[in-house]
Amino acid sequence: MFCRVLSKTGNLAKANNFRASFRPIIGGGSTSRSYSGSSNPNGSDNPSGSSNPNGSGQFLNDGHDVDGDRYENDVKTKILKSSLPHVPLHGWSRDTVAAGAEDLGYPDTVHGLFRDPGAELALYFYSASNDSLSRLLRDGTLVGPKESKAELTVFLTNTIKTRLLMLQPYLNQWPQAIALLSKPSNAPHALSNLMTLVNDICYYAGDRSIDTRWYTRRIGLATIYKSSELHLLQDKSQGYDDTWHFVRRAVEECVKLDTMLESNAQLAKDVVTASVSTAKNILGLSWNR
Amino acid sequence: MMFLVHQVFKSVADSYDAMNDVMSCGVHRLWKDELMRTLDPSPRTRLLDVAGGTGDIAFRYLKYISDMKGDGHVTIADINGSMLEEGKKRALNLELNQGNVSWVECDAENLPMESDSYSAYTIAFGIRNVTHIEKALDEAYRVLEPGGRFLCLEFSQVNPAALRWFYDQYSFNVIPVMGHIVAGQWKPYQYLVESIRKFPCQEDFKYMIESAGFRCVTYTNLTFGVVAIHSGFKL
Repeated sequence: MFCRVLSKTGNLAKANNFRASFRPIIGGGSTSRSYSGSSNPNGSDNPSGSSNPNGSGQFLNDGHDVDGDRYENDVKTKILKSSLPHVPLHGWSRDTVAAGAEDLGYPDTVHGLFRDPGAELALYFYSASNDSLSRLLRDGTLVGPKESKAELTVFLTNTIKTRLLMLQPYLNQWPQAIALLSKPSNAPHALSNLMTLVNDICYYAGDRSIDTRWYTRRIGLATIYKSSELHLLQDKSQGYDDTWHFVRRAVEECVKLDTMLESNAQLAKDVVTASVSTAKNILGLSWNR
Repeated sequence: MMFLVHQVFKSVADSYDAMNDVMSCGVHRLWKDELMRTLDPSPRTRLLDVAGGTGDIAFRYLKYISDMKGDGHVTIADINGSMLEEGKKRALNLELNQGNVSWVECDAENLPMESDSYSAYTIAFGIRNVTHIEKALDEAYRVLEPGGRFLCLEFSQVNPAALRWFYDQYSFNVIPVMGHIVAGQWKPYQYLVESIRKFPCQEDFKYMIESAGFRCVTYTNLTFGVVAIHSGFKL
């Protein structure tokens, strides 16, 4: 019966009335609880008074509780953050998140907030590391290159090195995270995190390209980063020296390739045009033959 | 209403399991297993199972954590003494450690438990029979500690519509007859079918849970929505 009533309405005011209709029965606010959470500036136990046609501004048109969503996300982030120290013990898993939640005083069952706790923890760690790298780039701890290609090589090598070193505390568990992040359900998020990372690096390296090189540079950098990451996992050398050499070589080659594309852009175009004309002539398709 | 519900469950207590198996072709066991998988508890979980007189959920919990080599505790609350007796009988047959289970005869709308005392609250096929659902939800919110999880397994609305037609035919024409044949009772099963139709659909029940103060409320349909698991957190 409820269903039929609500399905006809579908709009915000009615939905709020529906919520509000449960309030009187609940009985005089006997329990201390705020409907939209502590972050709600209106605070009180008022389900967005149905007298207000705009739903008192807490809800978007689809009836979404914006403050509530933010509060929920904050709680999730807090739990994930406090879970990270447990990763070396339990890996990227449900147990880690449960342990992190218990550190905050939540019961372990709160891990149910996360659809796939291990993967969400790994994704959180990935994007948090991206954020701290972008802070380093912004505040000038990692100085961007001025002119020369040599400076560019040094900058890219250092940046990738800095980012890779953020994985160090969890290096033994990182293969597990890579596996989790390559699951089809998580891969899109992982890929978008990687794109954010290389995008930030490219921007601070002074890349302002608007042609195909925008793509080639990012793909190149992403490839270097990912293969260096795999290299790092296998690296047994003192202070990961092998990996840093590998990064340096890869960056040098990439910069060289990029320079070549840049200087030979016109030549490449000419070659393509000539090939097409020749082919057309051979096939007898040329109009001015 | 209350009296009727009491009578219904008193009369079906001993044939409860057999009828559940017959009516759902045994699938109700899978639904309850799924509820336990969703909760994914640990030995540290303090579980309150409301309307769980026959111990279906509670025993699953104890089994779940014994697989983890743990020893936990569960409180079973039910308004109906006959259902609790049935559960106690079963607990004896299962050779469970009786110290791990507390049996409380009480009303879901007015729980005698202290506030903030449980980390999980489950109610399987029970909330439909509570007179004031929102009062029961309020009580669930009260007894759960911050971060605690509310989980409800309940009949819901079948989608799509074509399937719903078949489901309705089955419910109204087959279930009461089977009740008469297997359990020798017509009325309780007539009541069962009607109470399922009166219960709010997935989205509406989700609103009700949110209105009680729960956050991150989600639901999962099982078997095309014949039943749904609603989940919420006290954050």
